Amino acid sequence: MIRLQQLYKAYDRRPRECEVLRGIDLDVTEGAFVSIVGRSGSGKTTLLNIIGGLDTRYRGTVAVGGRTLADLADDELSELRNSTVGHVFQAYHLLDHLTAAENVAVPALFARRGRALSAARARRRAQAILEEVGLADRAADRPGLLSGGERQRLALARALFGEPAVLLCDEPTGNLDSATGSEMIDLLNRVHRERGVTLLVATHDETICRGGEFVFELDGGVLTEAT
Amino acid sequence: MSRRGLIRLVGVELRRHFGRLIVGGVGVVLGIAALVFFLGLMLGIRQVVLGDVFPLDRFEVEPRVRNLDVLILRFALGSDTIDQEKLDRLADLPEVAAVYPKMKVTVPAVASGGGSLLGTGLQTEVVADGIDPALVIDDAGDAFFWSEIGPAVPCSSSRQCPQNAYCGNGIYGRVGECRRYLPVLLSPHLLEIYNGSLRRAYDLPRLNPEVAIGFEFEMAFGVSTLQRSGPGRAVRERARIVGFSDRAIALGVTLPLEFVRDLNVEFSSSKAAGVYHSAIVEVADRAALPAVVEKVQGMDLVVKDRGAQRAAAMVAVSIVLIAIMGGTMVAIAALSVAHVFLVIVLHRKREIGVLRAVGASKADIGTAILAQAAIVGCAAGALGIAAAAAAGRFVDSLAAARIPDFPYKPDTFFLFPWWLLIGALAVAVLACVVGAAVPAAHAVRRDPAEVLAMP
Repeated sequence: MIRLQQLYKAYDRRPRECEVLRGIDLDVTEGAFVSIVGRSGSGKTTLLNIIGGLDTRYRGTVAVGGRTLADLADDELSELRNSTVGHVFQAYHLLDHLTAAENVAVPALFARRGRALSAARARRRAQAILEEVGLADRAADRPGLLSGGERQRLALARALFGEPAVLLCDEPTGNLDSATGSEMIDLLNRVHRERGVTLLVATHDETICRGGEFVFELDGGVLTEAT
Repeated sequence: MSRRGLIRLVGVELRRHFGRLIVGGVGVVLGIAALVFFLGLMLGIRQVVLGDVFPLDRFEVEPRVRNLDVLILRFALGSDTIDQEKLDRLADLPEVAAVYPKMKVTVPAVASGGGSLLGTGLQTEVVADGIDPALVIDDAGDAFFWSEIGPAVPCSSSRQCPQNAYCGNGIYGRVGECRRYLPVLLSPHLLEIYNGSLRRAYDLPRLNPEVAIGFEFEMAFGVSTLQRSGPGRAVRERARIVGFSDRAIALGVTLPLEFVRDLNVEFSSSKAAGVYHSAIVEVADRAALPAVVEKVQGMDLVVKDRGAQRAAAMVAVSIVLIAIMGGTMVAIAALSVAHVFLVIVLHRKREIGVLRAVGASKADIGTAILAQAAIVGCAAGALGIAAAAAAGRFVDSLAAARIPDFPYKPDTFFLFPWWLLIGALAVAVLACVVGAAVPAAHAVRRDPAEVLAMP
């Protein structure tokens, strides 16, 4: 499902370049649950951003669902982000002026031909996903009224709206207390199990690591399988 | 992004940034209003100037006369008349649609009467001109055509005479025979002068042009109040005003050409029948006017009034200047729109990153921003046009109420043709879209990951 070959990424931190990913090779099979651990600033977020098509400035090959991202035009890459890959960010990145249901349905605005939904269908699907993540009763609330755990579940709901094959979660429990974090982990496990998505989670959280089928450690720009 | 998605997104964003967009759009409204108002004013003035004051498809020519001044006297070198041969040459020019000769009455003339209309009888020396009735058919219809009645119609009172005729009394027409009224055409300018000045000086009533039509008075040709003795004989006619026309002589009376020709022959010789003093040349196509003017000048004729060309040039220059001024205002307004959209884009940069993360392409974001700008431009343009039209109406009503009548005073000073309105709308939309283009490009320049990582 995901294949990385000789992936390099450097940031321009003048006066010198800072290389955060150094020749990473990775193969993730469909439906796998992969945890990536590493210190803060080790490049976990960068790695997920590249896999998810949010960052296009890198060297090497990145393929998702058999499609090499570098070969995709912006429109195709956007379609991939809309329908193949779902992102859950540590900082939630919800739209404060929209309700929870509207936030979940935002990807519907950008659905390409063949996947476009009417407003009513988009609302129904959003409501169903909100029920799945336990936020059905908060559908009309704006993100500002939700707790941290609820916001993260809302972010997960939005990521699931396009029924993605790959779910990329960047520190999904990073801003949550341990109890709420556990609920989030349970939810992720359930989603992985029930939907069969390929799940990549960048985390510090050992609980999540324990749930993962594969655990990799990113250190010094190099990815190694953790033992 | 589907069209439905675009409409939903743009609708949400328009509602959300309504206040900011109004601020940005106000400049466009004012710019478009000023542009449409002043261009409409110039087009309206151009229509009056070129349509009524100086109809550019017609111009008057007269002989080129070289003068020799000796002390108080001026002697004309060469002929100051146009003969039939020259008229024919004019008519033969391919660009010329028609030639209407004009002939002056070459004997003194006195008009008298007016007691029934003005309350007191007046007598005045008049200048008279003869023109082809075909030239003024739009203003006077058939009433200006002159013809004798034909076989004598006996009468004892005017009621027994055909329309436009009266029963002669020996002074005006033969005794007991119907005689046609002499049709007279007046310039609206003359009525303005009467209503504006003369009536005040002589304490006379103000005249309504509608009522003045049909007014009868007496004219005597070969008679003068200035000279002790005239030609020795006089032609007396009862005249009737049949209309007002811009083609009529400004200060005097205008008579049918046939009548003037007969009059001049009677007082002079048969040669006078082919002696004209000027001619109105009508061109088939206004664009051909300069070429015709050049040819006319080559025939030893001069264009009597170059005001038309000067007025046309002046109006054209004014329109260009106003378009530049209005365009500059709209361009400045576009900068204000650009500023507003830039503020919105900077304010929303993280949000745009989120939208891109969930599937918006660069084109989607750019299209949504430009679509918002186009809607703002469309609304601002429509409001600007409405404001200009309202201001035009207001100015017209003020002018009607406050500005005294003057020759060629129009009912409206404005002309808003459809192409001006569509063009103004297009300019408004273009200004907003161009103004939003830089912010739109700025919005999608960076990768979503970079934007989302910003604090």
